[in-house]
Formats: sequence, structure tokens, C-alpha cells
Amino acid sequence: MDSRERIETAIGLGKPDRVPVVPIIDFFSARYGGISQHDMLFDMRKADQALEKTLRDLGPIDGLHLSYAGLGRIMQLIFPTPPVMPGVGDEPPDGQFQFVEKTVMGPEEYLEIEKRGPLRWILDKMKLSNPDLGSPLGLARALGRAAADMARVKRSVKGWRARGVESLVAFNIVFTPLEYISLFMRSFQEFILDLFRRPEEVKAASRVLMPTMKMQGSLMVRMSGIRRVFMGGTRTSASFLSPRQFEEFALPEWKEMCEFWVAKGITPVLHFDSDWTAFFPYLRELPRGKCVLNLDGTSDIFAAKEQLGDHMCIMGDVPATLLKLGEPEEVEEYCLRLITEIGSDGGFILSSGCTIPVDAKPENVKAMLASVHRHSP
Amino acid sequence: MDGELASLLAELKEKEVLETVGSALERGEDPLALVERLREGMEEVGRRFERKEYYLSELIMSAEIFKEAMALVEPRLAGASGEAKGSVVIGTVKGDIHDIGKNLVATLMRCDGFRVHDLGVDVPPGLFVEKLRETGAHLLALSGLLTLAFDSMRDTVRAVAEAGLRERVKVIIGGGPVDEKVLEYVGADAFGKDAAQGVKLANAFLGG
Repeated sequence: MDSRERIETAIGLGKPDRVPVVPIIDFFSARYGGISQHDMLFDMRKADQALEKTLRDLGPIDGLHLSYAGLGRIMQLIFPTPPVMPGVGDEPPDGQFQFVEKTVMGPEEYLEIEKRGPLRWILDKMKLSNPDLGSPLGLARALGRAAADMARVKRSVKGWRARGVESLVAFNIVFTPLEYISLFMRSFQEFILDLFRRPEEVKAASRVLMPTMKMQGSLMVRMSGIRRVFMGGTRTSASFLSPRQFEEFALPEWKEMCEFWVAKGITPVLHFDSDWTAFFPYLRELPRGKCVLNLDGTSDIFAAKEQLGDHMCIMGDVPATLLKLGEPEEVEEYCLRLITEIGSDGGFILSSGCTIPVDAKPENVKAMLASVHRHSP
Repeated sequence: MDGELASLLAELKEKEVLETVGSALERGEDPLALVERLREGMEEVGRRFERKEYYLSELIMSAEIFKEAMALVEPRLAGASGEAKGSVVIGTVKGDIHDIGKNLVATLMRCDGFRVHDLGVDVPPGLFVEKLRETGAHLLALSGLLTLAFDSMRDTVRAVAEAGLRERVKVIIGGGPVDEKVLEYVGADAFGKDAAQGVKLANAFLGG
């Protein structure tokens, strides 16, 4: 089996020749490979060299999970609240990339999205941090730069595939409308209060934004040529919402989006940060054998196996804390547990819990990557 | 009526809580008694959260209603708000700008009667020390989501010790990846897995 077959077999709930390992590794590989975080985000060639050194020293992988490498300019463009970007403004070149929590949408705007048109409304918000987008020339230039950057990433994806490393999702990042609103528009606290104070308006905005979110994802899939999408979920998790709220607001969105991708033959990779354990039973409503449940170390991944192991591929979840503060033996022990308890009958991909932290111990990363070769389920 | 205000808050009836408080104040009822009912409501919310009947969103909504109700009551208290349970200095440590958890802990501690000095995000160790000195606070609450924050937390605990304040000041930490291992690495006194636990720790350490 090659890497791609191994991954696809696991996604389809089959049992590959061994458990595939597909971490989020770029923040770590930049530092390990001797380049700054800024270079990783803005220089695809340097990012690839750093990754090559990392994999040469610490072991092969089957696939790259989400990667921010080379996407710095795009991320500066698309988010209404630009993230903290290493080497940009006052930030040190080797600082940490971080999202910023900021309210850029008033409570009255839920009902205004439809009047303005969702695409134009989103563009209005993007202009807050990128005023150049206000002119046709500025917009054309920005789109041209984004297309050029994506073409560079696509070349890199092709190069890695030729070397047996599959890109799981490349830059195919999509959000459900409510995750998007909470993360980038209303901010966490305001969004939560809106669920109590103006539930119907929140639901109306969700309906209006849905086609735009699907269109954006479809465009990414077409550009990357990779038929899997990364769907980030955290704000609608059980860490924050009650089951009643999840059922009322979030589940219909998750179902609609997953069914949309699956109908097109595209695999949704549900990258679920925070604690989703209480919501696992709902995930049985998603199409069977077509989605990946990617957990970050906060949810109970072993409970996920029990409740969902026959329904969706499970992916995760070596915790960031263990990779930074643990010893290689502890990392190996945890990976062994994942491989044997979750991967024994297939349908499992070993990954980092969210991202391998920039300051992980290299010997711990090595132990994690080696574990899939040392232990067969 | 007394029990009703507490249960209205526990049921997250925002409009009704504010109307009840408003009309009680108009009738000249004792504002301190109203504060007491509101606290009872918050305690009930806390119990429901512990029993997993309520989730974090309900905790956030209850804190918001409490804050709004207190804004009505406070002008009538005329300094008679009673003694705070104790002072807490809180912030997200240097290099980290995540503040959802930190804000939530600060809000819930305030609702529970603590005087909270929130230094915001990306706070260097020296600022924490300065604020501890200035306020005489006996509890320091450090937050962070990144693994890089563990080092900043450790530096902060060291700075507190170097300033000669460690005997007086208990340090609690919190944030997504924080666990026993991080607690040991940082040298703090306890960690909280969620905001409600953070408030419990404050009560335990400050004798609330």
C-alpha cells in the first residue's frame, strides 16, 4: 500500500497494512528545520526544505495534515480580524501565529447579511483590515497574489505526493456559518449571548451564509485538486454549547455541509478542537464511512472509538502537552494505546492533537512518527 | 419574591430578572438583599453546571444577567456592597493572546464576590509582580492556550518568588492543555480544567 491508499482505506473504515500517520507539523518543522515562522508562512521553498530536513531526521509520514506553509499572505487577506502574523508589524519573525478574538459585526447585522448579499457582506468585512480591496484594481491584485500563492502550494503538494507524502486537505479550509461568525465576526462571548437573545436571527444568518461557505469550499477543492476538506469546529463544541443548543443551531449546519461534500465525493475532515465527547451520539447522523473525526486531545478519543468506530474514521490525538513536556517513552506508550485500542480493526489515522507545538521535543516527535512502524494493530 | 428572583436568574430569564430588580429598587427594597438573591441564583447556576444540566453557554449567560442586574443595584449600594471575598490578579501570560478562558474565569470570580484585577493578555512577569504588590492580592491566576505559555507561566512564578511574594501568593493556572505535568513544570499550586473549577480554587485558597 502507498500512503494515499493507506489513508483512503482508513477513511473508508477499512484496515490498511498499518496505521497511517498524518500530523500537523509545519510550525514545528519550521523551527526544527532552522527557519523562522515567518519564512514558513511566506516562503514555500524554505518551508519545504525545513520539512524535508525534519522528515529525514525524525522519520517519514504518510501525509501532511492542514498546513499553513506558504499561506501567510492569503491569511492576511481573508480574515476580517487578521491573525498575529510572525514577522509582520511589530511581531518577531519567529513568534507564534495566533488568531485574534475581535468583534467586527454588530448584533443587528444578522438580519443585514441577506439584504447586503452574503458575499458582498463578507467582502465588506475583509476590507476592514485590507482597505485596498475597496478598489477593483486592489481586489484584482489581491486575488492575483492569492492565486499565485496557491499555485506555489499546489506545486509543493505535488512534489510531496511524488515522494510518497499525501496532502490530506492542502488549503481546502471551510467553516460552517456559525463557526465562521463566532471565530471571525462576532467573537466568542457575543456569539454565545446571541444564541440566547436572538436565536432566530442567528439561524437566519446561518441559512443565508451557507451557500457562500459551500461555494468557497468548492472553489478551494477545484484549485487544489484534493477532494478532502478541512472543517474546523470548536465554537459549537460541548465545551461551550449545551446539547439542546447544538441540536437547535449547529447540528443542522454540520449535517447539511457534510452531506453536501459527501454527495460530491469529497471527504469532510472534521477537525474538532475542544471537547466534543457529549456530542458524539449526534455524529452518527453524518454519512457513514465518509467523514473523518479528527480530535485534538481534549475529547475522549477512546469513547469516540466505542460510540463511532463503526461509523467514521477516527484521527488523533497525541496531545501538545505530551509532545512538549513528556518523554519519548510516554509518547510511544500513548501512541501504542491509540494504535491498538482504536486502530486494531482499521478506521484510524494517527495524528497530533491539533498541531505539533513549535517547541515540541524532537525526540518526542520522532517517537510518535516511529510508533506506526513499531506497532502493528 | 425573594426566592423568585434567584430562580429567575437560575432560569436565565434576563428580562424578568432586570424588571424584578428594577421594581424592587423602586419600592425601596434593601439593595444588599437583592445582591444576596442574585448570588443565590448564581449559586444555583453553578450547581446545575456541576450536575451537567447546564453547559458553559448557560454559565456565560447567567454571568451577563448578573452583571446587568448589578449595574442597576450598585448605584443604590452607596459603598455598602459588603466586603469582597479577596483579591485576585489574573491575566494571559506573555506571548499568548488567547483570552476566552481568562475572561470567563474573571467574570465568574467577580460574580462570586472576588475583587478581580484583570491585566489582559500577553502580560510579562514583571507586570504581574507589580500588580500583586500594588493590590496586596493573595491569588494569582495565569492563563494560556499555547505550549509556549508554559514557559511564560514558569517565568512568572519565578518572578513572583524572586520578588519575595511567593509565601503570600497562591498561583493557579488554566487553559486548554494545562494538566498535572504542566502544573509541575510551572511550579504553580493548582490548575483548573474549566472556569468553574478556577472559581472553586479561588474559594479554597482565599477561604471564601
